[in-house]
Amino acid sequence: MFGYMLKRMLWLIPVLIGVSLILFIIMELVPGDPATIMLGTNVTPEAVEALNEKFGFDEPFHVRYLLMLRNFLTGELNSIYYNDQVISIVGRRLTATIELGLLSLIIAVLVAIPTGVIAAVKKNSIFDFISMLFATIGISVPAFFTGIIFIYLFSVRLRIFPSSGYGGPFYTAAGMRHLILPALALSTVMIASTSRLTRSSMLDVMKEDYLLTARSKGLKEKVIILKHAFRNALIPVLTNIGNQLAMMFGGAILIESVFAWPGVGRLAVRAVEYRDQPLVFGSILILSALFVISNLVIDLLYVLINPRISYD
Amino acid sequence: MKKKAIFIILLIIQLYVNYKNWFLKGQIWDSLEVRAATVFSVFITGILLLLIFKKNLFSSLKENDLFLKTWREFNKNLGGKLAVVMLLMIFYAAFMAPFIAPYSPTAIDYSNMTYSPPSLENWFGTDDFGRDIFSRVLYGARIALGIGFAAVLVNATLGVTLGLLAGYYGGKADMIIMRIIEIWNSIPFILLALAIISALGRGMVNLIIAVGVTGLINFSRLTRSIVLQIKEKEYVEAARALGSSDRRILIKHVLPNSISSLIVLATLRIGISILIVAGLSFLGLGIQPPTSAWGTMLNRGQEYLVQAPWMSIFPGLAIVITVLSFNLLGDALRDALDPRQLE
Amino acid sequence: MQNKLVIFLLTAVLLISAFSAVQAANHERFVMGIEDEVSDLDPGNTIISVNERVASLIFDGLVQYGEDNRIVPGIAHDWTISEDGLEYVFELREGVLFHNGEELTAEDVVFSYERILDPDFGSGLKAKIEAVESVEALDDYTVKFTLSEPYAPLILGMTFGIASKSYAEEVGEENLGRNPMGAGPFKMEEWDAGNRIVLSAFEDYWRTEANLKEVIIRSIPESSTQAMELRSGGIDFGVNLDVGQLETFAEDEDFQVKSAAGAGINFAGFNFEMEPYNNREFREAVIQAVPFDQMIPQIFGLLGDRAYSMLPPTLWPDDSEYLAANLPQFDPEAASATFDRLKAEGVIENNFVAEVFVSNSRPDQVKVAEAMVTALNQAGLRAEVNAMEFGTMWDMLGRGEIGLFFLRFVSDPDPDYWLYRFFKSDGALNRAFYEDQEVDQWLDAARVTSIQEEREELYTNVLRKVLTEDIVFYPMAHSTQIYVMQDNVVGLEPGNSLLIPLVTPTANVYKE
Repeated sequence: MFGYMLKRMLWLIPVLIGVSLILFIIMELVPGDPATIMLGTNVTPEAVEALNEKFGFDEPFHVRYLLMLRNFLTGELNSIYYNDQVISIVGRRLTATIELGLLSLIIAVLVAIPTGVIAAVKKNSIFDFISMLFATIGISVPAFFTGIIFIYLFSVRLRIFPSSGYGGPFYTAAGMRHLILPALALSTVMIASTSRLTRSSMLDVMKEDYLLTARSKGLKEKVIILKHAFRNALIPVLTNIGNQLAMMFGGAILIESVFAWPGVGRLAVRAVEYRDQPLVFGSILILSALFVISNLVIDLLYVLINPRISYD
Repeated sequence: MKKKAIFIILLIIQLYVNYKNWFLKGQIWDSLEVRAATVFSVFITGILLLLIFKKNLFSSLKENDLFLKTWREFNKNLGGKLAVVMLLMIFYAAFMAPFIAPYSPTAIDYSNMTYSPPSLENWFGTDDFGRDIFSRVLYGARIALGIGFAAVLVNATLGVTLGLLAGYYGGKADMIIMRIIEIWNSIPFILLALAIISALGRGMVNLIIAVGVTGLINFSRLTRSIVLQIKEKEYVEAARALGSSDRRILIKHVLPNSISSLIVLATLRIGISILIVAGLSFLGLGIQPPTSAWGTMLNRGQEYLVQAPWMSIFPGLAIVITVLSFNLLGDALRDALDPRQLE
Repeated sequence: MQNKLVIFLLTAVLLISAFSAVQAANHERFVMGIEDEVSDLDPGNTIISVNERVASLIFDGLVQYGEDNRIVPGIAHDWTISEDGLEYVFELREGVLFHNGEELTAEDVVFSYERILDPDFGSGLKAKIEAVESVEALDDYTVKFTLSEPYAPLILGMTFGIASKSYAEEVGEENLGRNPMGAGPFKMEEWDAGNRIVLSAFEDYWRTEANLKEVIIRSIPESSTQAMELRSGGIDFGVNLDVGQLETFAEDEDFQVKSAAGAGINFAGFNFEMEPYNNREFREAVIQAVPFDQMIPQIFGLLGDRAYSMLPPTLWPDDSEYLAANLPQFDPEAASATFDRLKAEGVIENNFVAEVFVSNSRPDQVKVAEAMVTALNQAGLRAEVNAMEFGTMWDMLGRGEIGLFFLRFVSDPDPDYWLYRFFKSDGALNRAFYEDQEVDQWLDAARVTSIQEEREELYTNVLRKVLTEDIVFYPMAHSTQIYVMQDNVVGLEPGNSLLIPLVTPTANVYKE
């Protein structure tokens, strides 16, 4: 188990090297140099030259790549636009992104799994029909649109939550109030797909032989469902959550823009827009690392749910 | 008999549309889009005629056991049937837009550039340039479907090829290919698409490429796992023993066996692609105006959300209904084509 | 059981946070939404608009913008310019304090300007004071600038914020951008990057203490989000709303919408080194084909006024009457005829598509491009919009790959800033690649003389030549600066797009 975890953590290294190389090559193809963009209409040839020299844009490709990688690892990599260290810029926004991601994941799991289980147990009931209708529609709505509608409803009309921005850490009242709307908007897609999958996976499991055996033994229905069916149904559900993570990371970037959320996703979009190569490098690397780590966590959850799986 | 009556009514409507456009407006062969519409309407007329006058059109198909089973299974699924009807309508709108749209999607009355609510003249209202939203939504269908299909084609071609190679050759090749795909997958796709569009520039083709290379992992993982299952089957061993080349085995035996799962995945990916394009439009990287595209219209509508909500509602609904239909169709196909039920 | 408990707790947290007291309206706290993220507040490096505006609250300059953007005394209470225009001597006020309590002296002024002039520092502000040869402190309260050649607009460069030398040495010069400390009306309290900046009133501000005790600056790039924030009462003041949102605020009694002219010129430009854009008839026909006079007011609405000159209406010389009459007029038939003829002559190639390049961060310009392309197609010229990120576009412009482009430009109130760099053959912003000896001479002459009438005449000549004779650029609209605020905000007037006028020589904003 421990060996497996270590192996997975080590896997992070080739991923980050690969991602950084891909990013570097793509950014190399992107036209526009950051000095010219930053200077905008104040541009003069001398100023561009001075900036280029300052950030070492004149070196050949591989030298710049290695330099950037080294500087990133030692924390010396400087953003062009922000005139500050990439590590500290990204670091300041990491908490906001993680809070948003985690809360929406929690909301999704807390809403979707019970919904799916109930829908499966009460198959063909009104609850089943309505919840699955919403779930099917839910995966078909663009996340940013949900966000805008939420702001309009909950913030402008009902005035329950603030419209945008970051209010502080999640454990403070202001922080929580600011966090709820974006987290809800982000969780809709996850709720929709997870509840659908939980339902169908529960239905599959409930057909299996061992449940019939359990029933014939006279165990209570509730016990059967919670003890046996639910646990086995969770495995495909977890797989689905793992697959949905990619969608969620993508959606988070748009949600952060809609809610003016100071997260890494919005930062990365800005970095690409400003051709701020070091910052693109840093912010997307961090997002990719987060992605790999969350997948690792899901793998570990498999083991928790089903001790029969082992990774040795 | 009931079916026949419906087909006859549809045929009359179709002939009326053709009459109006071909004879009254003289639109037959003027431009590329009119040509497509003309060809399509001839095709539709032909199909309807066949359906009405030739009773045994599907009899040969009905004898096919596999098809029949799938068909029965599919028929049980209300969502699937609904999706097929909606998708047929969307496809019809996409091809026939120049014939059925009441107004031009782009022409502007410069003396009166302002929005107006839905009315009898403009069913979905008009946008801030005074253009008919109904016509624009109809024209938008072709962009959405075009990009959706093209992007999934790119996606599937790349993903399936990589998956086939990885699964069939196994060992080192498998490991390297799958690891590269995993690395590729760990870059958030919106950012990847954003960077690719920044590098290549905007435009329809670049948008298709950007959307097409995201989410490769779905196709390649699926293909790979199917290949791994099939590889162990006896007939593949036999074919290899008989000296068939690798390529021949892949194309002759492996691909046909994975096709049903691939179709299901492709259907679901079309919906996702349409959503990704909408997301990119939100970041200002969608289709260039004045071409009417749903994502771009939705994005513009935001500005007028309070005083002219119809500007966002109708393109938004178009996106939701289309994506929903593809999702429902995908689910229905999955149930119908489920290999476990067929065996 | 555990699950239920978790759900219960979470619901409780949600409910409590939802209904916990909505922040009490605070009359001394002012929350404003700006359109972009503040990245760097080093006064020697504020070349990005949002940075410049926020820095103007923290730093004061030798001189300041007063009413109608006239230059009024700031930290310097008086100044003299030598007759040859080569020496500027500034007398500083005594007792002006930095936020850390130290007095501002001539040494700080020298320090602030020398770092901008230092080529290694690479400041984008250097272009505005390039004529300065040396800066020296004559005594604690007197500073002398020596110029290498006369440069009439120099006085505007004297608005740059003054930083403290000893403070810069203490925190490190490279850290000034994140830890700004000046002698302005507000001091930095908290900077939560990407989210908000909290400023508080500086009690010992030399002019008068600000009425607003706390100013919170939030970056909200999405205009629809900013509109919703205003509506939900989350911010008192917003600056980047689109025309559709503005309409609803203008009609709403709970909000004030104020506008002022002169926030920049929106114009179309042509590339003189690319075919067929280098053909004057083609350029004229492109303009003739499009009903700009009808489109502009409907598209820009409150956000802009029809423009006929490159210079904002607040700036001299005002020649818009002549220009309005002599710019190409709307005439679709003539345009069609020209296009047909040029096609027959082979000037316009068969598969030619005119691409209108525009930055996708300017929705009003994208709309104009959209309507323009529709009109061009109607007149028989195939045209497309190419709305792209400003970065890519700016780069392509520099390399001469764009034939027809839209830009918005804003600068300090001197015609030189608005014209020289665009129309001078070797001008830094000459993206049209326009070359004309006569225009070059006029522009140079206007830099050297400081006689107002002469300069007015020279600039009139330049404008008439480039806009009506050669059609290098076509002015479309003057952007207006729009402030949307809650109805209890008093004294906040738009007028200068380079600053946020919370505490100015004439105003001290407060909330009722």
